[in-house]
Amino acid sequence: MKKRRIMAMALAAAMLTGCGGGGEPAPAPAGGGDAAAPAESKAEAAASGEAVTITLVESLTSPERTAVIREIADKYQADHPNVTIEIISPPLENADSKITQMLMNGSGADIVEVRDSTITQYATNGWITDLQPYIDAWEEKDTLTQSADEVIHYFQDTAYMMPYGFYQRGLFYRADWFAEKGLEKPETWQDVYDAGIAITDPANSRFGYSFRGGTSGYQYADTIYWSWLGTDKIADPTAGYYLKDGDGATIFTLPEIKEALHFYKDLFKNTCPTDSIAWGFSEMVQGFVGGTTAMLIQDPEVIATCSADMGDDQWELVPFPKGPSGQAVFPNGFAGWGMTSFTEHPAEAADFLLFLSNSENNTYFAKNYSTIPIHNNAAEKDTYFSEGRFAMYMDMAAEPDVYRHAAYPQMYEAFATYKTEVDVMYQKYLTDEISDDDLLNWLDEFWKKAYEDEGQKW
Amino acid sequence: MKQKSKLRMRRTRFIFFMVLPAVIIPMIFTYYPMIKGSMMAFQSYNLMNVKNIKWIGLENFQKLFSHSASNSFYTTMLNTVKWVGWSLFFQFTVGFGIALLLKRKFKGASIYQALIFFPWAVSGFIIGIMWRWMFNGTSGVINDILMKMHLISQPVGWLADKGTALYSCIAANIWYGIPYFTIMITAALRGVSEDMYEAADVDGANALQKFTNITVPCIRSVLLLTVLLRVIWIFNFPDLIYSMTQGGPAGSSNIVTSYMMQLVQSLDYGLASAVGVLCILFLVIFVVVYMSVTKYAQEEA
Repeated sequence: MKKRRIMAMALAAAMLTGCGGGGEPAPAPAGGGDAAAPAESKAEAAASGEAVTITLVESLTSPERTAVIREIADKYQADHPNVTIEIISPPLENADSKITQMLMNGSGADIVEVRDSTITQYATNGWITDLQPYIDAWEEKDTLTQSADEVIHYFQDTAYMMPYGFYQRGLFYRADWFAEKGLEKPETWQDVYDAGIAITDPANSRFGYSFRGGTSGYQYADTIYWSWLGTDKIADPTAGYYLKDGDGATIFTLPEIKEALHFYKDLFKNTCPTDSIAWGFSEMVQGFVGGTTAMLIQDPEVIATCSADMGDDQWELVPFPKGPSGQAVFPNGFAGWGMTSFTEHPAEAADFLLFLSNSENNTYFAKNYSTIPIHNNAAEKDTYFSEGRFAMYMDMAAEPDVYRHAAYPQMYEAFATYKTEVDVMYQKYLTDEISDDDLLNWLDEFWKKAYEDEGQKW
Repeated sequence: MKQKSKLRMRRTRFIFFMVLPAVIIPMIFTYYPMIKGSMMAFQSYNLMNVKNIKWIGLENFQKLFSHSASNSFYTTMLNTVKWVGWSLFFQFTVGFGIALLLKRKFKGASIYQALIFFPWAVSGFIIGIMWRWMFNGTSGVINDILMKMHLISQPVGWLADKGTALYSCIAANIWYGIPYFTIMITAALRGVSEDMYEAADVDGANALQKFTNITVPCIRSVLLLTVLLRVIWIFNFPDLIYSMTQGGPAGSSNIVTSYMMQLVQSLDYGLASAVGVLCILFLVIFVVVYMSVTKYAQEEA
């Protein structure tokens, strides 16, 4: 009797195993209600002054950042006593899937953090709504930077989000090691390679470059491709894998790309630690800050880490390296706020969303969170953006012909699958399991098929 | 008479209502998601576009078993067998060994016991992160120790090499799983009567004879059950792999369940559920075969 019960339990345990990861709870269909007629409801709400709670869900959470948003929200609440702003901060690791679940349920959120990697999903499913009417009526719309304007209309020319800032990469390098070897500051990818060779000394565990072979490593290969090719040949800055007027033809068949891919592999083989094939963000940064690698390409948030862990004269931050095309091309990573299509208080939610994005608050947020602000008067509001380490980004912005933006075609639904498969393919190439042609053919076919299936989406 | 039957009915109804939660709660929280999840395996269920969910038959399974450069499901299945096999073998033998040692009373036994059980109390993800830094190719402590012992001449990228990544994870898993067997087997050994050993001593049995003829038969059911449960748990333990290598490099350390986690991240729930359904099938078959081979169910309690 007892044995039989145990057997049944064991069977049940076995069955539960299977549904542990794959069988997530079934989500309800998305709430379809469009936020119509914003102007009237705004007037109504303002007149009645009824108590309203606006829920904001953030994704790229950190305790410090939540405190900054809270501070701005408190300021807003002081001016609008009938409004309460509630901030929900799910743990960073699964914040986006948490937001996805809330959006599928169609309740519980008025404003959500939208990222370059999630905007397609949210907008395609009709979970976030058009902000255009609110932006049109906004007194601060004229100071938005060009980058901000582009991102607002990123997806199908509809204003699905208001960015809060940009993550642009720069090149961090060890000024002291460079001086020791008599090396100049690196300006091109070739400089990075040459300096890397000069510094690499495995016996003393010193290496040239913090390579990213783990998750999202393909993004680094992409920037090298584009720097070899130049942005004039690509279809659109947001669809950097497709050729201009190519009707779905990809860049992966071009000789420049093959050359760039070989450079990428050489860079890995000759100037990077072998285990960097598995490195992600934290290993890259640890490698640089901890004194293993001499160069690192990363987002501005690393400035704070470097300032905290290294001496001021030990490191420098310089613009992104240029390729043979004469251009330095990198993604203009972005994130921002979107309003849900099912919010019950669209007027109040949009009002707070724009308050959060006004020049004063956005500049304050950007400074404390190391993003590039969205208003072109940020440097006037705070000298932080015109002096010191951050000034490098202003230098890059001053030369738009050289420092250009391009991104992988994240607006394709196929991108979600691509993201999980592509790193493995690069790792196979870098460890000589497959050839350059194998990899490039795979990339070419994957994106040609995506174009066939989904059409032109830029 | 009437009064009595009314009373009985009220009693039945009372029992019915008391039992109801125990039926409904598993239905809602276990079986409904399980069935719904299994149904997804036969659908094109992609969170990138929830407006376009439809039935596609066995397409998800065909995709899993297709032969393409980017498909690593075959490697993943083979890895799962290695992962479960090696982890279980060493966890069991070492765990059993330590349990036998702990049976004897010695000075500081309880402190030693507490130390042995320690890894079991820590979350799998934390263990994974800890071992990831220990196996780190440039600054990891394992390279440092091996170099000081002159076993290797230069640092090895344990988690970066396709040949060693999976085995590094297995090593961490062995370390993690030993206490489980030690705990269970120690408890079982306490239940074996000392009289039997004394009787064996009188008969002049040696240590090995005592082990094979007394110890093992007496705790046989515990051994069989712990091994069975452990197989299921190791199979369903992607935490370590996910936090150590994320299945890399080049998919060389992926097991079925860590692969499933990646598919969930790619928002293709249909494909992920297909893997989940295969996991259920495999484990159910395993449990049935295991139980009939070991004649577990027929044994007397």
